Amino acid sequence: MYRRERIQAHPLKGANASPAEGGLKQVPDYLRIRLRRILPFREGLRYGYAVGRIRANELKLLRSHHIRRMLEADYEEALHILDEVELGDYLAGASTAREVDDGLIAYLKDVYSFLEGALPADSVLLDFFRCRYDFHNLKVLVKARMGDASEDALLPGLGKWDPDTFRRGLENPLDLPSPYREALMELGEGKRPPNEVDSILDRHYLTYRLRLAEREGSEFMVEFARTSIDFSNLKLLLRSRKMGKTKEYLKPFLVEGGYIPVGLLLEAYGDPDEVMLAKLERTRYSTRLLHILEEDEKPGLNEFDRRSDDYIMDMLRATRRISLGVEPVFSFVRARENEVTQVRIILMGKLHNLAPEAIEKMLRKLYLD
Amino acid sequence: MEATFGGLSGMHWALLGAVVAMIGGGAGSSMGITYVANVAGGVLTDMPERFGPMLPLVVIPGTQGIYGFITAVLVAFVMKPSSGWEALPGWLGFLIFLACLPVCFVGFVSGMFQGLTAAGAAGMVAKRREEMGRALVLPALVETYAVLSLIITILSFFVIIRPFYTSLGI
Repeated sequence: MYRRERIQAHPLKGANASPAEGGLKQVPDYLRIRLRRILPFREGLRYGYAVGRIRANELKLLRSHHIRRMLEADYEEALHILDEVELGDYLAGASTAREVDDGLIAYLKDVYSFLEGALPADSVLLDFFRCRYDFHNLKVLVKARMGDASEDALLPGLGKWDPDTFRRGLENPLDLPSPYREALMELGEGKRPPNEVDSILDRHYLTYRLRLAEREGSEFMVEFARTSIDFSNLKLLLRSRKMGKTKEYLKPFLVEGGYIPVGLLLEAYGDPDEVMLAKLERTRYSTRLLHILEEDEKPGLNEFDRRSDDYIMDMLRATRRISLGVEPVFSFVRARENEVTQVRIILMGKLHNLAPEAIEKMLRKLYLD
Repeated sequence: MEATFGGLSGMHWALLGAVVAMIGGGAGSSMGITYVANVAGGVLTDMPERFGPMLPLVVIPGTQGIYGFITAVLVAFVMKPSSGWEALPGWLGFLIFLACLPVCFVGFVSGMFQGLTAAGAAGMVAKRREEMGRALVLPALVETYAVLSLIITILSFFVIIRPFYTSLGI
């Protein structure tokens, strides 16, 4: 699907951006076409080794039969079922929510270490995934400085940068690497509400990921990054409507670069649900996500998150047909992250004695059936 | 008969054909092997016991280089007239050059694509060892066209050279 859809314009510069403003300033048009055509071969050379390693490890992924059995089992049995996959080693003996989280974090660290050993040196894929934790740590530290949260939620070791780097950066933002420096400078010294901190840092995070995807030159990664921006914008829009915020409040937090223009979102904001849906009808998400607004029992934003995760998983599943390139590696890492989400939902549900049906409603699609 | 064609002698045209056949086939093979060897290297890092099933997949894109080599040897030894290279007219050398082109181009393209197909098949073997037979069939299908190009090149050689040999009374 994404192979056919060529990127027509620079997502951050709009449809009228001149080719000369892009990354390939000196390369004439005819050469750009030729470079694009040989991309599968270049990708084959760059990601061949990583693809081989993930193919050897794909069988160790969590499958739907594991999930079904875990749902029916009690907590202890669910841990035993996990022994059949790699995650079991990390969760052996975990009996509290904290221990489960620690095990899952250790597992994710190993996933990223595995990726580090398999990827070519010039790949930005690892940074694409790990910057999420760097921004998370920055959020925690900024909120802790403002007295709105404690530092307990820090996730050291998952991001590229140590939390101490950000602690020092809070004193002097110019010491921080880009894009964290720019994010802190925008936040400024004054106190801001936590949701504003979240929105500003999320905007920098999503924009940074889009830039990394463009640097990687992968249409799939660009599509993923742009789709993530759309979901973030839509979620913000839905949340702001629910909270009764004005259009002016929403405007600075919307992120440019998605497939849905920010102008269209602002135009639709404030309209009744039906009118907004009609305005967003032509976007790629209309039937599967936005119709959440039309359902009789309006589900919450958690349901929106679940559906958007499923949408992304469908995108990833489509890459199973690609034998070589960045796509299978990307999908594998996302599949591992998705595993962590699934297992956490199930185990936390079991620890809190939730019914299997209630847990199942929260679960996302898996990469492999 | 003209000793030269397009400024080159028959020998030069024929040897140019041998060289391009070897370059096309060899380049396609080396690229194809690189693709599949990269993937196989990754698989073998975690599954060293899969070396046996991986080896045929890594080797199979190498055949185009062999076809290029066979073509070059045929030109150098079989196509050489018994009365020496000087006897080969320019136009005949040019025809031999043209006859080398199928192996050059088809070998180059099929070598690359066979490498990509074999890389996909290597991923399949990594997941299921028992699929080895089927996995080998897929890149072998790409091979068909390299074999056909070699057959056409060899047939063309003999169709081209036979009247010349006859005219020489061989």
